[in-house]
Amino acid sequence: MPDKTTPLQQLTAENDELRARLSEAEETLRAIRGCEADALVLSRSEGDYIHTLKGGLEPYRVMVESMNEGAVTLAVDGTILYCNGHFADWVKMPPGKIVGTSLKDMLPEQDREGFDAMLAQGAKGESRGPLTLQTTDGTQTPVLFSMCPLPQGEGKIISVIIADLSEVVAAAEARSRLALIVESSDDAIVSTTLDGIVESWNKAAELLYGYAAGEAIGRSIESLIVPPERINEVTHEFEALRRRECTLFVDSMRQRKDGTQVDVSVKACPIFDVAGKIIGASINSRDITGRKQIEIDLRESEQAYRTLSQNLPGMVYRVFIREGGRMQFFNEMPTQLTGYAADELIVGTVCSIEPLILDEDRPGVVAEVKRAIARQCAFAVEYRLEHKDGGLRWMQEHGMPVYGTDDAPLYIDGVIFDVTENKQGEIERKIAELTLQKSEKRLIEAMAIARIGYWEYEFATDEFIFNDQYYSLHKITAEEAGGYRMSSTDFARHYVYPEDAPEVGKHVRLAFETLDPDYFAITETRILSGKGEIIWVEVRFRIEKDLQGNTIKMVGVNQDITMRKDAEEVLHRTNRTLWTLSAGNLALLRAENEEELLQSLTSVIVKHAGYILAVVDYADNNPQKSITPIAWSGFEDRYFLAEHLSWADTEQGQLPVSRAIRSGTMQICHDITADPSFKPWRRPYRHTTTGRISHSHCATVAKLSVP
Amino acid sequence: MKEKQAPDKVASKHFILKLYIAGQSPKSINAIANIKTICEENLHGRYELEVIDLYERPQLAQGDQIIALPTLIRKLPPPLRRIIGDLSDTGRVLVGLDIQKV
Repeated sequence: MPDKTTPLQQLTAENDELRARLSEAEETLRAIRGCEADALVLSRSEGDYIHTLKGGLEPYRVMVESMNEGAVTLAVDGTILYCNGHFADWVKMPPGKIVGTSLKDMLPEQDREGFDAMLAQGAKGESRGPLTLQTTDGTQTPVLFSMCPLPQGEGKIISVIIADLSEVVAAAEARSRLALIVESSDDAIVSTTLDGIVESWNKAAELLYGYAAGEAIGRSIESLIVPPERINEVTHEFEALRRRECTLFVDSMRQRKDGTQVDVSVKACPIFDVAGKIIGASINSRDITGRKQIEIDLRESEQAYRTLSQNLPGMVYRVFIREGGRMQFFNEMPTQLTGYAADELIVGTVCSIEPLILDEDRPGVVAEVKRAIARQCAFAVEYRLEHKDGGLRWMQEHGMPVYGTDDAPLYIDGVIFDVTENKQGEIERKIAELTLQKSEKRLIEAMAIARIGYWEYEFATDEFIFNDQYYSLHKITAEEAGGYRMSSTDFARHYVYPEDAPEVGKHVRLAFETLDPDYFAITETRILSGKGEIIWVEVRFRIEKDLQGNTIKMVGVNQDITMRKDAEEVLHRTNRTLWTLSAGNLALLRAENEEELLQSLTSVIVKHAGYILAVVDYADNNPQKSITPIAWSGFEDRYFLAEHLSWADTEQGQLPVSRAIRSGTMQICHDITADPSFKPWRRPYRHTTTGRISHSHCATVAKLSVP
Repeated sequence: MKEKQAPDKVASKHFILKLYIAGQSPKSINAIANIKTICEENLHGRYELEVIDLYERPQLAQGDQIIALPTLIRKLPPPLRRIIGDLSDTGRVLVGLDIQKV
């Protein structure tokens, strides 16, 4: 059914609508007038825009003034029309002085061209770019300019927001520094996602694995460098990372691009984002080929050392001083040397052979080791050790303390040898030595009893070598003589009787010149004691020749025969006396007058009694008291007779003969060279004996020297 | 509950409201806060509120012939009602939107 409305109805409806619209318009007007609205929608040819009434812009103003960026309104030539407080703070000028100046003046020279371009772009639309803001005091701040034209400025006014980039730049620098460290590291440093996809790959990784960063990034790390048999290891690694754990450096193998494998030490750490969420892994790997080689070398040298230790015939040990003297053995010798197995040697917690050392030897050993530690020197000790079989073994130990960097002793390293056999040999040697010493002593005693001295003469050095017994013949000691060696010159000067020196020299010459290697000689000669006494010795000697037949040495013994010689002398004298008496008796029988008798007797005395001169003088009773020889015999008779002698007590009458006549007593002069009364007369003989044989007769006999 | 729903048909209807504002002008900010409170207290669960910032899109003003801001429009239920201001007078808002006070 069609809607039929009357004109009245239509008019009424229209009227209602108009009323409603009027009421609405009135309400709007009322609201505006009543300040219930603070913005109006206005129309322009370009379209509607919002006009904000007073107070409507307040929040923006507050926001702009309080924000952390600089806000500036610029004219197209760069003149500042408005700036916020933050900008004023930056450039350190009051805002009132900033408005009207050019922003360009606040930029360093090199940035101004860029600013102009940005400004020109900013008048048309948005433009942004980094610049440097330079304050009045010269400090520069890196900033980001964001420009856009203000709508109501009609392209002549540009709004600029300036953000401080200092922190951003610093962060970027820190990032690039870190990147540089990573790049320059000798370790291969790779970062991956939690799925193992490579995100970064440093230079060392390129060198170690042969993949360039460009080749590696974006690919799975497992497909790149993990050998199939190591995949599990990497899976575990990533499981640990998801638990936020870092793995330790683990020795492993990785594969290079060329398929070869390389020894590496790998460590993985999780990478967190700022919120602490795990976003990936940092994997650090290090080439340990060199270290592995060193390890191999070390093992080999250790093996060599072990082999050497095993082959040593002694216990090689180390004592850990800081572990209560724990002793570690490096070979099997302890069992052989002590009879105890290694585990049997454990005493308490300390493994040591010390308790086995004989009680009386132990303090010395301990003291010696302590001394070596204190003096930082090696030691060698000998001691007896109780073997498990109950026997004693002689041990010789050589050790050396080892010190730490703080000079405190750490260990003693050493070796212990069984020297029992050597020791037994030594004892036998000592016994032999003692026996030898004893027999030598006996020989010396025998030589002393026999008064025999031993000597050698070396032609090469022209030196005599004597023993103590030899010196005792001379009644001196080796010390007094100045040692056991003596040059032939010194020997001849001090110990050879001068008259016998030519004879001694002759024997030495013969010994040197003889061609007979078995040359042997016996001679008797006189020697002088240290005190000048004459000693008769019998010298027996042989010679030694070299391969060329030259005599190099005389070896001999001297035996003191003074007593025999003295006995011979006594016998000789007795014989002489008997001969003299017999000849005297014969002369008495044959003589026909006194003169002939006296002459015969002097002759007998010289001929048989061994005197060189015999004189009988007659004392005259004349005023000169002259002395007249009446019988004489001997080699000096003429010379003697030529003298004018007197028995008067004058200067000339002091001879023994003169004194004998005056006193009637026997006058003996042992050494006429020392007797002042003989001064006017010089005689070749030394000893005279003068006696009065009757009231008027005096006899003198003279000898060359005292026998 | 049944007794309260019965007297007015409008009271049980679904409301579609539009609030036109001018950016962060003080009255716009107040209007948003006030209408949120009024709706929650009186139209809980049966309203849709759309806030339109004409500062960003001034062309949207034409559809609802907006002149002053802020303006609240009751799109549904008809007839279309509009209230200008910061909506601080709750009583007037309830009358204007024809909502029975709960």
